[in-house]
Amino acid sequence: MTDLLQPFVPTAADPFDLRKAGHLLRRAGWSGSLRQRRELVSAGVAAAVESVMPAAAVPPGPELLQEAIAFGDIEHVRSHRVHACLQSNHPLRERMSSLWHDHFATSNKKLLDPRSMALQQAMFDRLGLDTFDALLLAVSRDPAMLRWLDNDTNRKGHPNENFARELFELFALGRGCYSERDVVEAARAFTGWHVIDGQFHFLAAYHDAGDKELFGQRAAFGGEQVVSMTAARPESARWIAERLLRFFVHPQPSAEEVEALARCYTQQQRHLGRTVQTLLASRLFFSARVYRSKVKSPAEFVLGLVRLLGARAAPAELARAMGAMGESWLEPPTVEGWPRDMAWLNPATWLLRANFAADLLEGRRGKLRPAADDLVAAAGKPSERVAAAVDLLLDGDVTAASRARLLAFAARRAAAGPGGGAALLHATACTPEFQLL
Amino acid sequence: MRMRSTFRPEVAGRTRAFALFAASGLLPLSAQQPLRALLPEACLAVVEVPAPVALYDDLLAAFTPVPAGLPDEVRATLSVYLLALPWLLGEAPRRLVDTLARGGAAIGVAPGDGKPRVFLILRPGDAAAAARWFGGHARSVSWQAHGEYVLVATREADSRSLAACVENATAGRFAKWPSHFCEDAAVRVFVDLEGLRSAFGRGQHLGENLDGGGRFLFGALAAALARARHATLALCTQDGLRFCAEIDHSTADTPFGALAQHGTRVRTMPSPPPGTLLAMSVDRSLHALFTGLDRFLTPEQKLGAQAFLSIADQVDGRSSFVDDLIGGLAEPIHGYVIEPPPAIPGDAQPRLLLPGFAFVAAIQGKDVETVLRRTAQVFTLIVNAERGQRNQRPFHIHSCAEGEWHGLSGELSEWRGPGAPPIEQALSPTLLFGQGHVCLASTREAALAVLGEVAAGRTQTLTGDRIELYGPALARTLARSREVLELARMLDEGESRSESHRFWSVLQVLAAEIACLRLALVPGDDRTALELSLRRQP
Amino acid sequence: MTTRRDFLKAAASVPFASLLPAGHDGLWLPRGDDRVLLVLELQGGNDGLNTVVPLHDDTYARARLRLSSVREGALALDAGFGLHGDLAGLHALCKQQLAAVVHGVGYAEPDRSHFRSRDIWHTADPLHQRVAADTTGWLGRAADLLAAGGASMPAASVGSLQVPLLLRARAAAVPTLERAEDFQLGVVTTGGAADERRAALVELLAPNQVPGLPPEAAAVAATAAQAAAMAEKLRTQLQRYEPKADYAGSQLGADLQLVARMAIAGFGTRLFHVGFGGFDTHARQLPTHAGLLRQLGTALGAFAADLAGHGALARTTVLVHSEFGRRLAENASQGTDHGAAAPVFVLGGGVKPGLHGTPPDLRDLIDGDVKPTTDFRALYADLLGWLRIDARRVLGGDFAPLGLYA
Repeated sequence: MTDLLQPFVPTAADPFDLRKAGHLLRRAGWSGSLRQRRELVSAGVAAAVESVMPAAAVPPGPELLQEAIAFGDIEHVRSHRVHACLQSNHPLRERMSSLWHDHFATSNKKLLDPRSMALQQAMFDRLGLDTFDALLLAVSRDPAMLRWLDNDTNRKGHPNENFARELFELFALGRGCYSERDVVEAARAFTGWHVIDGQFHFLAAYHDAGDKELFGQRAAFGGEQVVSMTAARPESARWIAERLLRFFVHPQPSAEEVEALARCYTQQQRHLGRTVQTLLASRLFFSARVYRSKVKSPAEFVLGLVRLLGARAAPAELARAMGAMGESWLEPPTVEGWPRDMAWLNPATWLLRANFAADLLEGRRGKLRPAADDLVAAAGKPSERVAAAVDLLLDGDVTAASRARLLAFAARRAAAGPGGGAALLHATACTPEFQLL
Repeated sequence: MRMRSTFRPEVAGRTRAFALFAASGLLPLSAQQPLRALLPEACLAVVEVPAPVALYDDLLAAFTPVPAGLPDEVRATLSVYLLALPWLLGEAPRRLVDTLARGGAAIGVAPGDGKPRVFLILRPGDAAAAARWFGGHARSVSWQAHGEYVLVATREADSRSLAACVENATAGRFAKWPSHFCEDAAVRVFVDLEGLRSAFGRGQHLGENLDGGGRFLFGALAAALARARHATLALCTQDGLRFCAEIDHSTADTPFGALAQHGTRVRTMPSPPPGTLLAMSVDRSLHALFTGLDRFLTPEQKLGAQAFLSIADQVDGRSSFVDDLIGGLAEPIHGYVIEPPPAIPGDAQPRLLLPGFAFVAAIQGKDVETVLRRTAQVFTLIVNAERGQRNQRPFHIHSCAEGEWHGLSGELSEWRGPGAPPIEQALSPTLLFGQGHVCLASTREAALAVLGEVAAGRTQTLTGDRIELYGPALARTLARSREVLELARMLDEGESRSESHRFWSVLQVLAAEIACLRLALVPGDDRTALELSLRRQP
Repeated sequence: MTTRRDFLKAAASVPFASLLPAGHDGLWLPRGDDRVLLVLELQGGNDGLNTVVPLHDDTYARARLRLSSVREGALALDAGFGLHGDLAGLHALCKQQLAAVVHGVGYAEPDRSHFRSRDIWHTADPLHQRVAADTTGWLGRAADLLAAGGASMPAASVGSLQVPLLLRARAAAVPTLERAEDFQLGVVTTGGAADERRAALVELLAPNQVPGLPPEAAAVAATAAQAAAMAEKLRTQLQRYEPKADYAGSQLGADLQLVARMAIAGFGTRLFHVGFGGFDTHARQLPTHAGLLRQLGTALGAFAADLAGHGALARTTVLVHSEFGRRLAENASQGTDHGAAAPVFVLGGGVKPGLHGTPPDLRDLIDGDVKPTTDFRALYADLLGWLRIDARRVLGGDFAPLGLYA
């Protein structure tokens, strides 16, 4: 392991403080309450990273999933995902699922099948931190994915290359790492992979069992072998490493970082959970360059605000708010997934975020428990109140310029009386620092 | 001809007796006048309780014992309130009521600036004790003892004027108020509708802002309210709780009255079969609505209705939706909601199990069966096409014959997928004809249940509109889909699992306690009566 | 090794392009005189032949024994054609030289399915097969171009629950609006101090002249400052608005009034869509169609009068169209069935008034339907040209404009 991925060791000059705990919870979860952050600080960095990792591969209750599907309605399934994210004790699982949902983007707008979408999400929950080979194979057999990329009409003699192409270009390798011939041959290997009654079935009659030439090798490859060969390629390690870095670390990872993580990933037999754990404990993760270097996506903003307040709110309302801001789960805009970073933010979406914060703090988006006013003392000196608000929402770390503005706000009548605490929290949520992950 | 009220026979005897007694001069003058006559003229609504202690006893009997199935936290909260009540009041509630108002009570409400002005006249059982109680407890009101009465008002000035009214003992306008309605009720409220309308400058155009559906259902009532002068509301506590109201204008005598084909005449509907949780028959004619759009709807609503008709006429291109289909039925159409049948072991059931919905009507046109069959088949094609686009299995429709009934029925093929089947797996849309009736239902069981009543000739009579809710069947239906309902509340309201569980438990327990909840609207020749009655399970 | 300084440069190269304005010397506010296009879609298939009525054509009278009675009340446009008698509002606009009619607009190989034909009009692609998750509409593509040039809310859909395909864009954020208040700065209202809080918030968000924010935060702060300025501007503009016409309380009127308020405010939203349904008149067409056209005429008249009263009519254009016209022959239910080409209306914006295009020949039909004489994409090209947006990039090809604008 290179220097970058060595575990972070706190020193007097660079301690594991509230800021770093908040950073860990923001990136590896959906933020956490002040109490949770303080608990992590006292536990220390190693224990903190350990606590963030989910226990064994225990998927959330299948009963709950069946109940969510019961209405047959995509909004219900979406609300259920939001609910799962808020309730989860190990939100890294749901975080990874949202990464894979973006990576293997499948949209209900085409499928019109809430059941399959819900089962795909459950599959990500189960295998998102397993080995990439297992995940990729499960994705290739997933009924929603097969219908989305038309692989359910891929037959011997009438091949459909859509899935094979996206497998190489978007999911596992990246452009330029394969030839056109490889795509055609891979498509032949996936023939006969069908969906009947919402379940995967291998129809041998439609399968092209002949010899195929793939990545310079020749044999009668089936789909499973294509998947394992693809996952084993070094380009795949770099592609996945870059994806993980862009998600957890920095929007523009350097070549050096990608190489380091790819090496680690390969050494860990492509086990995603162990790779991510190494990454989360690393010096790179806690370095100054990485801190607050990304812009929050709508989900990170909405769910983060609720969890930072240590509050509960109505998942259906939160899902609607995220949709209005451009991130409607289960309906990504294209096969490339959702936009990233600054592309999320323009004056119109910024206004939606600020207005959502005001609505939530006031209780207009479903009852907020506890209420906002109770979190920031109604009376007390402005500097104390600002400190409380900044601790709560920003881990106490805000630039001098922003702090000065917040103090000016807190001194006004706007921040006094009933609703004043909520108004001060709203102002804090409007600072530029709050939009950064 | 006066309306024949169901309340008449019980009341008539009593009124006669009272009149004789009064005429014999054996009653003092003040006792002849009801308490409400002593209230100031400015009052627009008056509440009169002739026997408060009896009312207390009746209410206690109606609400206790508290239903056994309520969750522990709820029972604990209720117990705390019940225990605290005597402590707050200073003595046991029943004794207090007797002390303060053994001889009766009357409350008057008059408009004031901002807040309404309230007047209260009590005839206490123990005048001295009542005065002591008021002295100790009544802080924010102005009260005074006056002979055999205790007078209370929200403001000092009002208290004085009330005393003046009692002093003069002249009969106020409420003495001559029409008061024959529900004379043996425990509580009655008399409302001066005309006064209300002029005091607030509104209400003359009640109902004009309703949307199309609202006008169809409530337009006549709203119009009658806008024209009626007196309203009487009453709470009767014998034999369950009955809340009744009467206004002195008939719904039949309004522009929307033409929507009710039967008006004041009695008609019949098939009895609700066992397992019904809701039975409904409202005397509204879709035929009258669609042939008289200009009379009943605003221009914009009319456009909406016409747009609907142009599509409805297209479904079965060879017939008119209004004339051939609706016109061929003897309206009104009766509706029933029936609890889902018991689960068959081994059969995969959806997690959300809907009750069955059935609509039945007598046929009066000869082409109705042909039109309905064709429409059903076209509809099935459309629905199946859409399901096909979503990769969902189609409904298979086939002819069906069951005893004296024949028609069409459909269902989905057997569920083989992962997990529980979707909601529609339990649906079996059914259209059955026979014995001069037609029934359209969401499940075969619901259709046969209702038609069973038709075949056996079991009917019940009614006038006007009636909706009946049967609690135990509703409670059983809720129980079948509890987890799904709990999750829905968690997702929509942000409640925790235990909060959601408590909500549905309370709802289910209360529902199981209600033998029958009936809401009825009965038009008369020159008046309209409303009734909301609640009967508890024995 | 990349540094934070590269963040901004990198952000601009992200596939869904950065929507930050190019100039950083202050705030970019929309110019008050931007041209605005409203697409008013009559949903269901408006019967063109009974809207722009051929006054002296025998073929028409013979094919529509009952429906041709609208000729009696028709309001004359020129020697050969008149408007349905209930379109008085629109007729007045024609007489004032503020409206144009384009004959026979459609596309070759007409599709008579509501959904497919609507999709074709919305995507400007007659060969369009199936809507995928990333299909964009023609106005959506135009919105993307405006967004790339710095506009943050170039388009909006009014009065519908979901953004229609017409406005689906790749990058631009297109909201659905029900009330103008949707795009103002919200505050916590408990305790009443709403105005005070809004003022305090605006101050909090004012652009920061003192350097002190790291680059990412500075980018966010600039966006926030712009948002606050826009919201405040909209709020003051909307407060100043006073209606100069009576919209008669219909839902269509309310939707058009919202568009008028946004257009007059010069907020920077330039592309709008409003839908008006109910035109699928398969049966008993006469009364239904009359009612719909009456509402349409009143609403359009009010819209134009309101804009004119605020001096904004010259920079606002309305396109009124439907997904197809209806058949020449009436059917047995006194209605008409799905057809092909139909006339469209273009109002305001300095359009050349009168009747344009070739009136369709009712003896030369395709399958009993009116043949299109004008390709709808040529119409789009004209409108895009007037909007000063690159038509070729939006429509994916060159189309000879119709000459609706001087």
